[in-house]
Amino acid sequence: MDPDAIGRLLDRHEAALVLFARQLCDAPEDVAQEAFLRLSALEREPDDPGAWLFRVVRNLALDSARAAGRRRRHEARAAAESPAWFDPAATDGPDPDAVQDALRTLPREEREVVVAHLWGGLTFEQIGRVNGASSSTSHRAYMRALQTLRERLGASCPNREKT
Amino acid sequence: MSEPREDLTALERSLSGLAPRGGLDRDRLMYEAGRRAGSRDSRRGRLWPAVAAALALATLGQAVALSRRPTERVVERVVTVPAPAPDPVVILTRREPAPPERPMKTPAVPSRALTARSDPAALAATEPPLLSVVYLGPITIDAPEPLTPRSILGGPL
Repeated sequence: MDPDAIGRLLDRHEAALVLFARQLCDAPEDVAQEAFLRLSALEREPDDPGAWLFRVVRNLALDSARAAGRRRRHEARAAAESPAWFDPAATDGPDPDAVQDALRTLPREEREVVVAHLWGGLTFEQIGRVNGASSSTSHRAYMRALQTLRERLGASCPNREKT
Repeated sequence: MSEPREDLTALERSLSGLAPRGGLDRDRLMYEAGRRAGSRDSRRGRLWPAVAAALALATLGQAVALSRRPTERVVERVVTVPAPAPDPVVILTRREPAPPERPMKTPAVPSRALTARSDPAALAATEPPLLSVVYLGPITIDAPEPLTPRSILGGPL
């Protein structure tokens, strides 16, 4: 693939892909990098490169998590020691640490949908293709997750929804 | 990072305002992508030389195998196969009567038909039979007396 296109996709999806992979495994950077390397090895750009990248990252992250199954005991410690998910410099929104903690409490499927939609910019149809579910299923999971986040972040979210 | 969208609620907008931390080394990634592409191209470039080398090796092996192949040795053996005894062959030939040397008004010797009519017993003494038997091959017949064409064919000849 064209290096310029790779660079463009890297700018557009890199952070969201790392965050997405972080929901599934404890080596998100490696997984995201491998996905971009596989993208660069393609003869031509996929029809939907964003969804393609999320799907590849998901598969790689699940494989990585499966391979690390023997290290389950250390997962909690690793999660506690993992770097911050969000850039603390961007202080316009809610507290990044609070959002990270709230996201951690969500079921994995809901976290995937929230990250892919809010930070990855994927539609629910694209998310359904990534997760192997229907778009309505993804939308319902998203709405449940949003409700949970609203409840948990209600006090700390400055831009809380008024209605 | 996601772009601002109009269809988001306030909570979604505030959440999407957070910037996820990336962590990928862009330069390293691009270098690795180029390196993989290079190794892929070099693998593709080595394909035909590898095929040619393999074929040359196969040809060489065939040549060596052919040169070391043992020559064929011809062994002659006499094989005795018992053959069945040939069947006896009996050939019947008709003897043509010799043409008369000169025409005769009255035959000196009466014809066989006349003789047979007048004296069947004298028929055998007058002329040789028109049929003769040529016997080729062995034959076993229990006969009390030596075989003669008459005894084989039976009847007066």
